[in-house]
Amino acid sequence: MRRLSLVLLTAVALVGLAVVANVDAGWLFGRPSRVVCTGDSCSLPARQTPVAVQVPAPAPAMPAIAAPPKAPTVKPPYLPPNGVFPTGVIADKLSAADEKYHQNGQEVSKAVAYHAIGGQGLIDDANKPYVCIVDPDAKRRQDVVATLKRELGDKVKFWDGPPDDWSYATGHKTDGRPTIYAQLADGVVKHRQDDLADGVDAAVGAVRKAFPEYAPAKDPDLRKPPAPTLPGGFDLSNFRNQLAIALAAIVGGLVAFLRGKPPAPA
Amino acid sequence: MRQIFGILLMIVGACVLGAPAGLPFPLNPQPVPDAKKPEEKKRLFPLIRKPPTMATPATIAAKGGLVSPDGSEQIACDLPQKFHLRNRGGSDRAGLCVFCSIQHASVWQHQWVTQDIFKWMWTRPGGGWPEKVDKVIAQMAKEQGKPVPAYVQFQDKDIEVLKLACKTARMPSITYNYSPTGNYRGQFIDHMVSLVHATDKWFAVLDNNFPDDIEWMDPATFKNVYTRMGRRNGWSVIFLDPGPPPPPKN
Repeated sequence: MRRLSLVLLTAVALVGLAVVANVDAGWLFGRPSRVVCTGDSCSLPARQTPVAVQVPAPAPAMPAIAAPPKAPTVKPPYLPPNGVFPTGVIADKLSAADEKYHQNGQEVSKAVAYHAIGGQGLIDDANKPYVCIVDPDAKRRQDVVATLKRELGDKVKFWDGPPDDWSYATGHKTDGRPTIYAQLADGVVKHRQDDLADGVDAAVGAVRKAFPEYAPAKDPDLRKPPAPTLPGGFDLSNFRNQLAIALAAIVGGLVAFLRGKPPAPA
Repeated sequence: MRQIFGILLMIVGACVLGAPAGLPFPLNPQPVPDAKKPEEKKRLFPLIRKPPTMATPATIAAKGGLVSPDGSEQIACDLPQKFHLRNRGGSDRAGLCVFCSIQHASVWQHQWVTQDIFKWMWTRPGGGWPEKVDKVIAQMAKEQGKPVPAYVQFQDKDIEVLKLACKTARMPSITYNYSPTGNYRGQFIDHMVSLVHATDKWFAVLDNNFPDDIEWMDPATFKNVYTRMGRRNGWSVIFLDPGPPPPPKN
């Protein structure tokens, strides 16, 4: 009798526990008890007859207000088929501690590598102008690029591609044969031509006119010894400086001559 | 009598403890990630090493789009979405992240020789390191009868050169050792991604496993990501030809 009362009490206690704790009591009865609501009705899931729960009717829609836009469907995050994201760096073959540098397949020193990208002082070419060549004829385009590169060197940055290239989708005109743009770094077009009627040399001349700050005469020739300079960095090789010095000497001599005492009469 | 009292005491105790938080044991057990779980013997992720023991400094990182999270900076290398590639394995199923990143840069910088380097590698063994990159680029150039494009590879901890590269519209491919926004379960990985923005204020990467997002972070966080919290050199591959011109204007 005592045992029976103990069992009964334990059963009552467990039910009470579930109710008081307000937890999912379905586990006691072998089914989930969560109420599933879809649209206007709510029902209990399997093993029980669905019970329609009355939901207050929605207020009549206001005719003037348009239906709210559908919430955008959220794309589930991509997961690779096997659940593993491929990576691919073989870390054991990297230099873990020592600095290492490669240029075009050859191991080089740090100085050479940095020089390649702008020098140790991190020279910034972001302000260099662009020359763009648009042409569907790949060979002609490459010839034009080669000529322009030969003539203009690295004073400008070159960009070329066919008219349907993605990079021209931002507004470049692409129907020339070829189209040649000379653009400042901020995009301002200084020159554009849509043909080569005057030849490539005329295009080179036009680009030079477009960027007058570029003067080939100022290009340094590193084979020659550096020009002598005066204290303060005064460059004697510059024609203007030479002219200024010559004028100063003439004026100084003239002043000295005029102020000088006349020779005493014999 | 004692037993009844004990049972009653147990019931009261269980109700007091159980009421606020449901039962004291889970009815529908869910897998709970165990941060202190030791490294499994059989790795699920062969290239993922031990979990980072990150005493992470104040990290600023967020997934976003073409503008930095604070709205102050526009992305430097805005490679159109249609060129964002998703990484995959090579013939031996090892990942091709290195070549996927290099292809991003190749498209951005019009490196015609390596425009299809990622697809070219599909039928070849995966995995990448500096000497292999040299070999693959040289082989592609040879097959096409074109000169090897100008590029450099750095293995050091300097991020200034990466800033310069982005400023001058070049897109470096860089090592990426963990995700500061929680991808890869926050674990260390041996991965390469594309650096699409780098300034004194913000860095942004295009991860070829998550090509729909741009991941933004502050420079200090980026340096940790690049150098595995300062424990290794970062590795970057940078083509030297410039990126595309700006939109034309009068």
